[in-house]
Order: sequence, then structure tokens, then C-alpha cells
Amino acid sequence: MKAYNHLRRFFGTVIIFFALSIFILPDFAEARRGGGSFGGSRSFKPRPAQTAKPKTSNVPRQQRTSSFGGTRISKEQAKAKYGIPKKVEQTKRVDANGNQRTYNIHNYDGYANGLMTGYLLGHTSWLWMMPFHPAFYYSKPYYVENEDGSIDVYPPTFSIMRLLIGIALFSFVIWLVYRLILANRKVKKQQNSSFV
Amino acid sequence: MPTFSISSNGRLEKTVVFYNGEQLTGLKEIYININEEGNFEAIIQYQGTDKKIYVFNIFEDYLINLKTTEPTLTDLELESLITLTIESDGNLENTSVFIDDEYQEGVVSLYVHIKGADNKDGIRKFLSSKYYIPDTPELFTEIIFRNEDGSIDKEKIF
Repeated sequence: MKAYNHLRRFFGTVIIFFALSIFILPDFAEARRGGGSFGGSRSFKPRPAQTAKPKTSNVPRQQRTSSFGGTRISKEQAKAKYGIPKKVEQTKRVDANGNQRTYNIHNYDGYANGLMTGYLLGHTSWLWMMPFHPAFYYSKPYYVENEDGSIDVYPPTFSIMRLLIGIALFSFVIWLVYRLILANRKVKKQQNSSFV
Repeated sequence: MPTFSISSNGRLEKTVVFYNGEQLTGLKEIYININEEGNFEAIIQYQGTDKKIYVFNIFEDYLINLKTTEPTLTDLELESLITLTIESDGNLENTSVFIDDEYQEGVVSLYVHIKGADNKDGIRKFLSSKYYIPDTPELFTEIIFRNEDGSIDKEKIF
């Protein structure tokens, strides 16, 4: 019976890890792949056809910003969504293709602004992918590519979808703990019967 | 001569079975139907220590791989239950019935059917919200006595 209980607890733990993996690992992998905050989702924008061989950069890989992370939106969408920023900072960084790009960072204050800075500097943590960290409930920064080649960066926004996922995860963990307690009670009751 | 005892309060979750003084566990079903007309059926179905299901005659067969356990009930708890004990070698003439250690005379028939349901196992059992009450439990006992005046009394044991 003890071995059976251990087995059941083991399965419970596996289920928790499995559930966490489903929601968290894709983000985690993405974060690892990026090593930073800027990203490659921009590559889907049609670019002029290049006949030359792919460019290689002399910039060390660590100094590049990632091609992954964040979401690209149009300038109109960004204006409608965010309004007038409190401050716009301009910074130059190297993108994943090794090109020097100008980034216009739109600051609006608040927690999301701090997150944006974290993403831009590449100072993210795997804890951000955990539902007990507030960053989990925010999207990645939004990027707007301007015609002059510069990129506007907007802070992450609160994600209702991620909130629902967080609630679902917490509910699952609470339910699992409840089940474990109930299972123990079951075992105690079972001990008073010769019938399985 | 084997001794077979069932202590219960009429509910499956509080039903313990003893075979030669040892408390059994892993039981699936018990069927006892003994009457003075010569019918003698005493069948036990259980899951053995090797996880296999066995069906045997309680008083005639050797019960292999029987799962036993330390007594799970205190003396006080056991006192609150009714205990039916049958001592027999498989022959009606050598069969004695006791209820709470009291020898019973004038027994016409004894019928006991206890069946634990097939509960969900493994992960299904873990995920199930149902409490440990089998889906289709069965616990039916009946003993019929012939009184001195020839009348018949039918009683439930537990």
C-alpha cells in the first residue's frame, strides 16, 4: 500500500511538471534561444529580395539582440493603444542580422515599463515564465518598424489570456493538493476494510 | 478446522474478515450459502500477493498467496461490530456458526454475500472525485433459525 501511495504521489508530481511544461517551457525555450529581448519575429515582414549571399557580421554573438520575443504591431495600432509616451529614449543596438538599428523606446512609467527595460537589456529571468511572478501575466514588448529603419518599442501589456492560464495552473495545483489529502483519507478508511 | 470470521457494522468500509485469526485484505467477494438441505457453498475471491485474482472454497481449499495485514481495528472498535464466525471442514455436520462468540443452534440456512466493487485503479482512481465507496457495493447477510415451536425466524446478521 505504501509503495502504491508513493507511486501515486510520483504520478501527481509528473502531472504538475507536465502541466507547467506545457505553459512555461515554450516561453523558456524562447528566452534561451534569444538571449535577449529583441527579436526575430520581424523577419516575416517582406523585405527586398536579396541575391547576395547572407550577410555575416563581425559583431560578437553575445552583443546581438535576439530575433525572438515581442510582437510587431503597426504604428497606428501602437498610437491607438498607448497614446503619448512620457519619454522617448533613442538607443542604438545590433539586431540579430548584425545590423546597427535605432530603437525608440517609449516610456510610460509603471511596472510594464520596467519589464520592457528588462527585455531590452536582456535581463530576463526564468522566473518571469512562472505564474507566481507578475511578469508572467504581461506580454512581450511590442515593436513597430518605421520606414527609416528605426524601431519603436512599446512596453508589454497585461494579458488576460495569461491571467486565465495562471488561474488554471493555480487551480490545478490547489486541486492536486486537495486530492492528495483526500487520497490519504481514502487510504485510512480503506484500512478498516478487508475489501479493496 | 479452518475458522472464518466476518466483523462488520453492515457497511463495506467497516468490514474486516479473518481467516484462522489473521486479518485479510485484498478481498473481492465472499459468497457463503449453507443450508440444512445439504447445500454448502463457501467461496472467496481475492487478489493475491502476486496481484492475481484467486477463487477458492474457503473451508476446503488452501488459500494461496492470501494477503494478510496487522489488525487495523482496536478492541473497542471491534466490539462495536458484529462478528460472524464459521468453523467448518466443508461438511455440514462439522460446521459451527457463532455470532459474537455465541454458538448458534437451530440454523436452517446461512447466506452471506459481500462484494467489493471494481474500483478504478491507478491514475483513474487518483483523478476520481468519488470517495472510497465502491460503485456497486453489496453486503447482504441472512440467517434463518428454526424455533422450538417449529416456526421460522429470518434475521439479518449485521
